[in-house]
Amino acid sequence: MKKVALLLGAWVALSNCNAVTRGSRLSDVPVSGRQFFLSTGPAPQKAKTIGFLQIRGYGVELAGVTDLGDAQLDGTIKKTMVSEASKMGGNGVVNIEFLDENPSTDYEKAQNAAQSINNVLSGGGVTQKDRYVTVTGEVIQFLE
Amino acid sequence: MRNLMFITAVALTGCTAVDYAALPRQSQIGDVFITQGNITEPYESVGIVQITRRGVRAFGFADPAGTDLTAATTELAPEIRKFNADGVINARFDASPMTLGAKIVGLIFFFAPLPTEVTVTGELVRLKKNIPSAPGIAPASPGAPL
Repeated sequence: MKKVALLLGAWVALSNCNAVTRGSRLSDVPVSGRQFFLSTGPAPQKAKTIGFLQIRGYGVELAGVTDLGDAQLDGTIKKTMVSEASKMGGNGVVNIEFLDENPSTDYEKAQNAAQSINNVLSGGGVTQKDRYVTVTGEVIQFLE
Repeated sequence: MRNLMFITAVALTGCTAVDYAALPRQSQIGDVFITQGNITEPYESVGIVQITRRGVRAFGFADPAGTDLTAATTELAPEIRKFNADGVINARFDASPMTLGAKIVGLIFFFAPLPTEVTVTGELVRLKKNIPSAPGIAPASPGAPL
């Protein structure tokens, strides 16, 4: 019984981890200057909705250390989303919602790194984890 | 006996799970705000943030890791302070609350704790009234120039 409790305690302690994902700044309100407007909130002035966008970025995390591909919030929002919204004729995206679907906690990253070292030493490859980021938003065109 | 079985069956098959987040006391989070909506005051965007907290539910009912909405809300406060922001707007929550039936199943199969997760996303902002004015310094463009 003591062993079970110990095992359970260790499991809980190890699995209790946070994963924090950050992205750089969006647009300030009120708008200053003529720049592409990006916000998690509504349009700050009169605008018409011209469509909606959903982008799913895919990437791979190697050995719990490096991210390859497009599964980063900044790249998905500031490159792909801005580019697609511009093609639609918009000059802003509002009500942006984002989700990093499977971020790794610090413990999981350490575990993958250790596993990769073990694999490489025994002639195998590094661990890979699929990563996905989904961003949705409303494309707008300012009327003034 | 039949009534008892009926009540038990209803309790086990009830499919509503409730989770709520009481906003942490001001003494716990300091002078920061967290809202699911927008604000009317002028602000400067500081960045976007997502916090995912994972754990396991022991014996069906115990959540020692704290993967509920309150824990997620409390986790936001250190991030707000870290970036010298005033608060988070347009916060979105996604948790995995469990029904009574699922908790009882977790209690029976206590040797296989169920994984739980809570995710909170939002935009960190700094109110313009709290920013010292710095004339001549243009803010960096958030998107591609028009």
